[in-house]
Amino acid sequence: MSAFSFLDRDHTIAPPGYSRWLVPPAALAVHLCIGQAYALSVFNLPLSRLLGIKESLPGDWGLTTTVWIFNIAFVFLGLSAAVFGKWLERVGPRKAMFASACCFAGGFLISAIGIYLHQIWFLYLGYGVLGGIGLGLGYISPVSTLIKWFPDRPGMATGMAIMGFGGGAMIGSPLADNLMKFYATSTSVSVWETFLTMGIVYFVFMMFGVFTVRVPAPGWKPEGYVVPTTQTNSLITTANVTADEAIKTPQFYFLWIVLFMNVTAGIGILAQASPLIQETFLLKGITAPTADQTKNAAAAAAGFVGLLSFFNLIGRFFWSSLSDKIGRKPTYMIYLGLGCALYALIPSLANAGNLALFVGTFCLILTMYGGGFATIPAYLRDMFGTMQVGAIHGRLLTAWSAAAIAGPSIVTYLRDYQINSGIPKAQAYSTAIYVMAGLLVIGFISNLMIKPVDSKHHFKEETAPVAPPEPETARIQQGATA
Amino acid sequence: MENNQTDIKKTPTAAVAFAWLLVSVPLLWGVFQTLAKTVALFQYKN
Repeated sequence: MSAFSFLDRDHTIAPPGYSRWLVPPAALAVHLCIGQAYALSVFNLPLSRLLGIKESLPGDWGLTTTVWIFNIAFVFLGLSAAVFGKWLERVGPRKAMFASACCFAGGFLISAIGIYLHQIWFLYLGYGVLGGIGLGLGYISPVSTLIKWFPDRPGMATGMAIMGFGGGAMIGSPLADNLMKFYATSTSVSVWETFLTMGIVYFVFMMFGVFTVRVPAPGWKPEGYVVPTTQTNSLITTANVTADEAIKTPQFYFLWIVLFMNVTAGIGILAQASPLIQETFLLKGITAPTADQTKNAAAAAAGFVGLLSFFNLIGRFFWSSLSDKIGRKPTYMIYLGLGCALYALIPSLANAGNLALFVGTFCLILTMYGGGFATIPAYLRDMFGTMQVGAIHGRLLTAWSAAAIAGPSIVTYLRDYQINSGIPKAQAYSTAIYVMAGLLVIGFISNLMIKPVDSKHHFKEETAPVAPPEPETARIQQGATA
Repeated sequence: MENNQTDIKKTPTAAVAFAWLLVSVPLLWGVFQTLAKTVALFQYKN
């Protein structure tokens, strides 16, 4: 028997009486850690002063060098989620979470060595490749399990976990800031020590998730829950579709487009939120700002970014929970339809000069950006069933990777183009914002096209032996608590 | 004959509460740190 047999799916089957309410904290323990990826920019400035300490020297890394750490990590997030999804369904969430913790924390440790030696390739391979694989594995690992534990509230359950990813950035940024201050000396910006510490802390915290997570026993259902044999909502299937079969359906690609458009629009704005509010509002009409004006505007813009992150977090839980009541398709109609209308209003709000209305509109938009992430696993469950929903989700996340590159690139390119064409900075984002509204229209139409999956794609046991094997020690559980 | 229901050991409520506390504390700390920064936005004057 292997020393790591405790990670096997057989050993994670919940005993009778196990509370399903332990599973969301286990999922949150992983997502709160990996969500740190969104706070990686906190290291941009310190990484550019590793040699010069107080200011960058010629041999120091520039932003164009360090930004690739983030880009590589998000590409590998999408790739690993797509590639390892079926493996995750086979081995269960505990082994996948453990692998995620090893990769994510290992990425920090390799990066710490790279920072110490001032070798950027260690960071590309460490945080970028290895950490990115940890991100992808960690992101999808609890989703399928949560859906199986909460068949009555799948949107709320996955929303809670994915909310953790949004919260991870809120923890990661001040944590890194405080650690760098703690370790700082006159001869070091203390980034490698911070990476080392964060790697260890995140590994320990993720282990709580690893040891806590359980899968429900075959046949388990919440007390009082009746498994529907037919659905009143035709978009909620009682059948199952395998991951390999799902990518042969048009529904998968319509959902890919929906996620891509929603994320591109949101991430494009989120990535440029600080310069956007400074140029369109805070420093509007000031051609040569004083040092104090620049400092105050930067602090206010940081507050704006923080507020957007908070509403992104809230939206993940709120909208995904609401989707359990009103249905997944209507929820995405709201994200994409209302989102489009709000985007189209923004240039007028900026011209009107009402800061509260401008900020409030962006906050509402960001709730729907977060909601789009959090509701998609339940939408996939509705369309393709629970059997391989984690693997299907993993493949759909390639839309996120693509959007993470497309969104900021579109906004930055159009802004620069407008400025080079002689448009004042305060109006330079208008075209980009109208383009984002247009993308949401495409997403809206794609969502409208979604119909139930043709029964020819449904899993039939006698012809497609790809279901996860039933554990030998499986016991019928009816006693687990709701 | 022994009743199987009496063998079922339910997860203690304290264990569930502890698990939620463990993840809530860092999350709330992060939310607080983030919202503290937003004060600068609402007090902004150029």
